[in-house]
Amino acid sequence: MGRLDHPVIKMPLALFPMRLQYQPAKLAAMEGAWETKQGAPLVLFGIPNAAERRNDFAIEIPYAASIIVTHSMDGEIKGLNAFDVHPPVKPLFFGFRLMVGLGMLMLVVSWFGAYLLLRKQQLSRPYLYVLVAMTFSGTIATIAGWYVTEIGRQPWLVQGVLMTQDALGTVSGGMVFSTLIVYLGIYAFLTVAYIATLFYLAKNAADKEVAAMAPAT
Amino acid sequence: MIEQAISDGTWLPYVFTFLMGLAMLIYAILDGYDLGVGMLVHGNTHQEKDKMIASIGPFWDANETWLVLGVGLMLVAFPAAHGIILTELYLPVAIMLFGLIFRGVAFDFRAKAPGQQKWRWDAKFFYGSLVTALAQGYMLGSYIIGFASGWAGTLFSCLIALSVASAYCLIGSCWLIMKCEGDLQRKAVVWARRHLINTVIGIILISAVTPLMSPRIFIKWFSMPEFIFLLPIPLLTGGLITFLYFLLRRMPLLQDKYNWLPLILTASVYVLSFLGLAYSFFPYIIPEQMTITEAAAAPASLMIMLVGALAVLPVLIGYTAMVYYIFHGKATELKYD
Repeated sequence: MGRLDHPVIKMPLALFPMRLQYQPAKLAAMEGAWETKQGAPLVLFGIPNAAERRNDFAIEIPYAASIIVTHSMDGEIKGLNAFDVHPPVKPLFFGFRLMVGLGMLMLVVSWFGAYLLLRKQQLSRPYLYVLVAMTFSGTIATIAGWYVTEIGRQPWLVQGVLMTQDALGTVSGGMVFSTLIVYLGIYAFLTVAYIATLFYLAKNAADKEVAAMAPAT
Repeated sequence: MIEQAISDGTWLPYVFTFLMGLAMLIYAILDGYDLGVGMLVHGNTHQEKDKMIASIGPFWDANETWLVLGVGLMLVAFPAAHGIILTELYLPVAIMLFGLIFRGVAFDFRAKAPGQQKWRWDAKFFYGSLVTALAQGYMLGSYIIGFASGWAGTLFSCLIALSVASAYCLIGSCWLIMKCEGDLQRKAVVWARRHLINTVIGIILISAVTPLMSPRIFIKWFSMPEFIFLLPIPLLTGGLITFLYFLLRRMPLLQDKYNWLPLILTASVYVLSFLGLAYSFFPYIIPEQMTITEAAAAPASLMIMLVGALAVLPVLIGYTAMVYYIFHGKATELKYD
C-alpha cells in the first residue's frame, strides 16, 4: 500500500536539488517561476501566461518551493526571466502537475482501500469502480513525467552543449513528418488493441473466478 | 612500439569494428531464423502455426538484442558513420521498425486476444516479419553500392531485399527441421530446398556486383597472390551449399539423425558470406567514403566503452547459451497463461 517513501513519491523530490544544479531553466518552468526569488512560493495551480510572463489565477503556498528545492526557507530559485533561452512553460507546468496530482491520487485511493480492508474486511463496489477508472493512472503519470523531462531539456539536446536545431539530420521534413504519421497511427491502433485485450483478459479472469466459486453440482 | 600502440589507442577502432561486425553477424543468423519462421507461417494450419511460433517463442526477443548491440556500438564508437548511414537509410529503417513493432506485439497478442482475433494477429506477425526482412535486405543492398541513387541501384537493392528474405527463410526452415517432427518437419525440408536456390542466386549476385563497385575491391580479390589465398572462401561456400543441397534431398533421415546439420551448414554459409563482405569493405565503414579510423570516436571515449562492452558481452553470450540449453530439443506447446 501507499507509503511516503515509495519511489513514485520520493524520486521526484530527490531530483529537485539535481535539477537546480544542472537544468535550472527546466525547474523554473515546472515551478512556473518567472522572477528570481529568495523564499519562492509553490504555485499549486495557475495558468502560465508566456506573453505577459506571469501566472494567471495563481494559487500559491508561500516559501514552499524554496523549502522543497533548496531545503531552506530563503533559498534562491532562479526565475525564467534570468535565462536567455528556456523551455516552453505550459507543457512543463501542467505536465508536472498532472504527474504529481496523479501520484497523490494513487496514494489517496490506495490508502482508502487499506482503510476499507482494515475496517470492513472487504472493498465496496463503488470503490472497485474507482480502481477500474484508475487503471491507466500510472501510465498517464509516467508519460506526463517523460514529457516534462524531454520538453524541459529544450531548446537544448545536450544541456548547454548542443541545440536541438543544430543536431538535425539532412532527412527532409516531409519524410520525417510522414513516418511520424505512421508511427502515431500504429501507436493509436496498438493502444486500442491493448486496452481491448486488457479488459477482455480481466473479464475472462473474473468469469473464471465466479465459475470457480459456484457450488459443484 | 607495441606499448606505444596500446597507449595511443589506434587499435581501439579495429576492436570496435570486430565487436560490431560480430554482433551484426550473430544477429543475422539468430534473428534470421526467427524472422524466417515468421515468414513461413503463412498458409499453414492453425496447429502448425502454433507449433512454429512455439519453436521460436523462448528465443526471438533475445535474438533482437544483437541488432540493438550492433547499432548501439556503431552509435557510440563510430558516430560520424552512424549519422550518415542512418540518414541514408532513414526510410528502410523506419519501415523495418514498423515491421518489428507489429511482429513483436503479435507474439503476445495472438496468445491473449479473443480466439477469433488470434488469426488476425498471426497475419500481422507474418507481414511484420516479411517487411522487416525485406527492409534489412534493402539496407544491405544500398550499403553495398555505397548508397548510390538511380534506378539501377534501387533495382539491385530490391533484388538483395528478396534474397535476404529468402536466406532468412532458408535458415528458418533449417531451424524448423531441427525443432519439429512429422509432417511439419517434412514441409520444412521442402521450404529449405526452395529457399536454398534463391539464397544462392543472392550470394552470386552480391559476389558479382561487389568487386565492380570499386577498382580497389576488384584488385583486393583478383590480384595475385591474394586470389589464391582467398579461393577457400568461395570454394568452401560452394562445397557447403552443395552438401546442404544433397542432404536436404534425403531429409528427414532415419531416427531423425543429423536434424541439426542443415542449420549448422546454413549458419556457416552466413559466416563465409559475411567474411567476404567484411574483407571487401575493410578498412571502410561507409564503402569508399569513410574509413573506420575517420569515423571513430576519441580514443578516451572508446576506452570507457570497451570496458562496458567487455562487461556486457559475456553476460549476453552467457544468457543466450543458457536459453538454448534450457529449451533444446523439439518444440513443445507455448503458453503465456
